[in-house]
Amino acid sequence: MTTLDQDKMKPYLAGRLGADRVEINSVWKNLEGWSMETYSLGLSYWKDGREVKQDIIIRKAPELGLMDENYDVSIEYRVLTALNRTKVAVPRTFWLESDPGVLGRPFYAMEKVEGYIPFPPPASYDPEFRLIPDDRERASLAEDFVKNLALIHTADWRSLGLEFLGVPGPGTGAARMQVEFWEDRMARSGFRGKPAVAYAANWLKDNLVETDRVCLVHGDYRSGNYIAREGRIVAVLDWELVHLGDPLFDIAYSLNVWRSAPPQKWISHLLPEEEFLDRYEDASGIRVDRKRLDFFHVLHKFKSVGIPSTAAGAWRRQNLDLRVGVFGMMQYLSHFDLLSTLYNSHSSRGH
Amino acid sequence: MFISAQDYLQRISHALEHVVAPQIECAHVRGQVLAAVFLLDQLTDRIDYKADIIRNEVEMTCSNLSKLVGAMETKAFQAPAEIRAFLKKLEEEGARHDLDFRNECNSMLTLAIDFFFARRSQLDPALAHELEGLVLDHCVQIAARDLGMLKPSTSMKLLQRRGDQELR
Repeated sequence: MTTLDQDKMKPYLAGRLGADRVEINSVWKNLEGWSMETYSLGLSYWKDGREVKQDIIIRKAPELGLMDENYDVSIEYRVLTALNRTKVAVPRTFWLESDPGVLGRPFYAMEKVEGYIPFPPPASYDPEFRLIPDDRERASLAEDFVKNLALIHTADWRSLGLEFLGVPGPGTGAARMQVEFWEDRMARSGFRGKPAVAYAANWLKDNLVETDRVCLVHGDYRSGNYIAREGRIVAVLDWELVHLGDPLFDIAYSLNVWRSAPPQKWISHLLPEEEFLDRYEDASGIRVDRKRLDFFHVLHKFKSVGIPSTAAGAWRRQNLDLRVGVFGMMQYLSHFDLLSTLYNSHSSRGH
Repeated sequence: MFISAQDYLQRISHALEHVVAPQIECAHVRGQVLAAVFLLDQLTDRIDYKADIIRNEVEMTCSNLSKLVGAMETKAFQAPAEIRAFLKKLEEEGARHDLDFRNECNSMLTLAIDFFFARRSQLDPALAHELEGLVLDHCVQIAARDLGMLKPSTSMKLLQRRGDQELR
C-alpha cells in the first residue's frame, strides 16, 4: 500500500531540506484519514556537518474519494501555515509541492507531531465506554478542545491573510455559501437529482439564518481529528473543510458527531453539552444562539449526506477503494437522519 | 437506490481483481479472491431487481408528482414544460416499471420540488405546508425503505478497520 518511489524521493528531499545523504528509513501510509493521503516518513540526513533524524508527514491531494475531485491541497497548507503564527495547536508546515510530477499529485510536508489520536468507535452504545479512561486527562483534553475551537473562531483571519478562502456576503451570505457548496458537490456527484436532496436544499435556502460574525471555521472539529500528548491537545488536524463562515457550523457539528453513549452523551467523548457550550461562550466571547443553531443542525445533516454522496460518485466513476464503496452506502443512513430532522421540524411548525 | 446493484457488483469485482488480488502474496487467498471475482461477474448480468420495490416507487412517485403539480396548477402556476410533457405521456402510455423509468420519475419530482419552492411564498401558508408535507412524506418513506435494507452491523465493522496492517 505504501507506494513512494524512494529513488526519486531521496534527491527531491535532499533539495528541499538542503541536506546530503538522505535516507528514508520508514514509510507508513496512514489510512485513518479517508480524504487526503497521509504518509509518515522517517528520515535521516546530513546537514551542516551533522546527522539529523527527523520524521515528517506528507499530505497528498486525494484521488476521488470523500473529497471533491477539485480539492486543492494548498488550501490546508496555507491555513496551517497562517495558523503557525497563532496559539491554535497545529503542526508546523514545511513546504508545498504543487508539481504533480513528484508524487503523482500535489502535496505538502509538515512536522510529525508526537502523541496519539483518541479515536472514538463509529457507534458505541456502551454507557461505560470511556474514550479517555483517566478523568484528569479527559478534563484537560476537554479544556484544550474548547480552547482551540475558541482560538480558531476568534483568529483574525484578515490579518492572517485567509480571505482567499472566500469571504461570505453579509446577512445570510455565510449560511447560503455553505448550502450551495454542498448542493454543488452533490450535483457534481450526480445526486442533486434525488427528491430528498432537492427538498433539503430548498428547505435550507428558505430558512437561511443571518451571521453577525464571520469566523474561521474548521469544518470537521471532533475527537479523532487532534493529536493528544500528556493530556494536552498538541495539534488539531484534518482541515480539509476549513472555510470562512458562521462559528455555529462547528458548534452544530460538535454537537452532532462522536457523542458518547447515553446518558452522558459527552461532546466528542470529552464533556457534557451544556458545559461545552458555556465554556465555549466564555472562551470565545461568542454567544451560541440556540435558535440559529437549529438551522446549523440541519445544515450539518445536509453536509452529512454530501460526504457519502461524494464517495458514492467517486466510487461509481473511478475510485477502486472498496471502503469508499462502503462509505457511499452510508447515504442511506444520512438521508434518513436528515429527513427525520426535517420531518420533526415540519411537524412542529404546523402552518 | 443511489447506485444500481449492477454497478456496485461491477465495481467490487474490478477492485478485487485489479487492486486487492495483486497485493495478496498467499496463492490460496489470492485464488479465493479471484474466485469471488468470477462469481461476482457471473451474477452481474443475472441481477433481478426486486420488482415490487421498483413498482411501488414508480407508482408512489408518479402519484405524488401529479398531486404536487396539480395543486400548483390550480393556483395558476404552470409547471415546467418538461414535467407537463412527462405527465401527458404518463397519462397516455402508463408507467413502466423499470429502473430507467424510476430514475426519470425521480428527476421529474426533483424538478417539481424546485418549482414548488420557487413559488412557495406566493401560496396560501396552509396549502404550502400541506404540499411540503406531501413531498417530505414521500422522501421519508423512500429513505425508511432504503434504511431498512441496510445491514448496519457489517458496515460498522468495516468502518472500524484502521491502518495498513488490519487491511492486509
